[in-house]
Amino acid sequence: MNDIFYEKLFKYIALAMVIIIAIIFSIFFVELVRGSLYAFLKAGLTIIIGSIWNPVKEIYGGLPFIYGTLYTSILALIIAVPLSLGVAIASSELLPTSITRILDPIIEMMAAIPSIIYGMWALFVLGPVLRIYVEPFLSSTLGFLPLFRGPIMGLGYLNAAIILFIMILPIISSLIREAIRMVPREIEELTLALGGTRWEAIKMKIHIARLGILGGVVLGFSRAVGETMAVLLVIGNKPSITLSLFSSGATIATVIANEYPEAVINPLHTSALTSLALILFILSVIINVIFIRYIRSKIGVKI
Amino acid sequence: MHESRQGFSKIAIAIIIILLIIGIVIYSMWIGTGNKGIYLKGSGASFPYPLIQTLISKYKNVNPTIRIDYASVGSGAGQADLLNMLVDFAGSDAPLTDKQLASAPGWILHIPYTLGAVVIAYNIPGSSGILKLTPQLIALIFGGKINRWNDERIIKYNPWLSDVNKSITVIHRSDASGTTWIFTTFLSKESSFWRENFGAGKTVAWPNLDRFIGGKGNEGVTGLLKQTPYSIGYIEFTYAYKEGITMALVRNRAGIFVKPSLDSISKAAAIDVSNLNPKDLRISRLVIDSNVSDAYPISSCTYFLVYEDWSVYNGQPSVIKSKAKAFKEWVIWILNDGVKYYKELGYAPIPNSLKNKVVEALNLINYKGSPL
Repeated sequence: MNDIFYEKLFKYIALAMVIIIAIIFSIFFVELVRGSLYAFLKAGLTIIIGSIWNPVKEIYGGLPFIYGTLYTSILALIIAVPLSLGVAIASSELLPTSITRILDPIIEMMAAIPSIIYGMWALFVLGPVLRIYVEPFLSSTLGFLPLFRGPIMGLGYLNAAIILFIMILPIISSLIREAIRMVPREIEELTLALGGTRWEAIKMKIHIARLGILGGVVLGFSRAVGETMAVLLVIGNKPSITLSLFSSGATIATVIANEYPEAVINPLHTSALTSLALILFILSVIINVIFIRYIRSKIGVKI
Repeated sequence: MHESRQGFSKIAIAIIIILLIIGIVIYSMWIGTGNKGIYLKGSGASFPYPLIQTLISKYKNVNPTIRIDYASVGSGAGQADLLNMLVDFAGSDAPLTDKQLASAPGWILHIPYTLGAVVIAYNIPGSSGILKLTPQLIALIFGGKINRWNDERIIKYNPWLSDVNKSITVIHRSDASGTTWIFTTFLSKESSFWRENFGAGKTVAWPNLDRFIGGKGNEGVTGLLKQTPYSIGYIEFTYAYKEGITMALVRNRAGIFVKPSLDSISKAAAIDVSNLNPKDLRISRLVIDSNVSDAYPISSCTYFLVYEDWSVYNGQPSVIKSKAKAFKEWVIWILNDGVKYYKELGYAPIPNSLKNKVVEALNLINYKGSPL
């Protein structure tokens, strides 16, 4: 009788938790919509497609921030995904346990470092390194590409993308590693038994673990999109739409952090910032929904 | 048997935790209501926060029955809190606009009590000259029109820069702040080029040039300045003073290049007070770019904002009256005795001529028309 009681109790508690999460999620959404309504009514689609952001003249075009958010996050992913894959394969397949036992916790601990510390490091260590060595080299060798033109300051999209990649690497690599480890041992044995090489066995495992790997990538992307403090310190904080990696930029999260505290007194400014928050929210939801649909279509299971 | 005992102990732990939580809640409620002293709540600008904290803690020795809290949330949030009557006073670097005053439930007094300034800091490696700037030069540099250090317009006042053939990196605040507001208000007053292209505000749209970078807070701007050669930026005086940063001299209306110092900043408020109405001491426009000779021109005062008639607050009249009285006494103590703590913290006191007007303003504080 006792057991049944506890079982039921547990069930209801768990159910209540789910409902609470759902309520919090909807409150977020409703509040964001409510808060951004004023700006959308007053400025219309300018909030999304306008490229000028000038609070003094009450012009609020959010496109540079949306662009900056996506640009830094995608750049970070481009660097982080291959590296994470390498780290994960090394630690799950290639390295002896005696080393991975030390290496894995170190990588995981990187995820626990507060972002302001990454930001400080990027500002005071990475910035000068980029300014003195990396950026002059890139612009003199690859300067014919629009990516590597612009002012050499050590701050901007490149710095932001690098620090973001360092920050999302631990989460992506540990998820990928777990996904690879979940692949049954028999698969590897089978491949080897059929005359496959070690490399082919690993390729087989990655193929089987691809959904888990994608999950790690999506999670890393979500983190990069919302990262605020570290990016704020190094991105230069200038709304701009440019391919140049050396240019200053701004993201949705940084403009909110920069301007929200002093915007409270001005309803339109507050509302414009809230609509940017709503866009960020929708962006993350869309990425996750696409991912879930993709998985659903792949494994044919309702999630 | 063993399992049920374990279950029991878990329940016991749960009960203890719940009791603890209830205890903490009751205790905190008791703390809140049981204290019969006077409790003043304020919020607002972060610039005077260290000063206000000191003035609060020193005042405890003078009048221990009054408890004052000040939250550093930014001028805008402080103003909003006061308009929504969530606080008893607000701290603000910028005065309220006429529109904001009209939307308030009652008239709001502006009580200037200290001055701050914005200074121009720069990083020119390998030279020890002191930069001299006119308001026009500042407007052209920060407006993106002068792009090299050896521009002839700069060299005219700074011959030592003639062989520094480097592009100027401009560092500005990225976060909305009173510092930017003072700086851009000053430039808007002095330069029509600035007024037409950028205007005054807590955030402005900076020139869309690659040489411009934004840093968060005084620390952010200073950090960027230190590691970016041939850069220039503006920071809050108090911060620069405490960090020992080299500051440019700025030419004031009297035509004198003035070094920012506590003295020269205080002088900015030594304006003609005879025409000032204590009911409306929004003197920022007079203090910024002050016409007093010897005054450092990019100075401004920071205010306490407080309702003139405290009957706008709901609650027992006796409690509210005692709060209003406590606020008044505290600020009068600041003006008379508290000023001795200003210097070590790097805040400039208001000059004596203005002080009398401020006391007059404080005397206007009332409850339904009856003075306190």
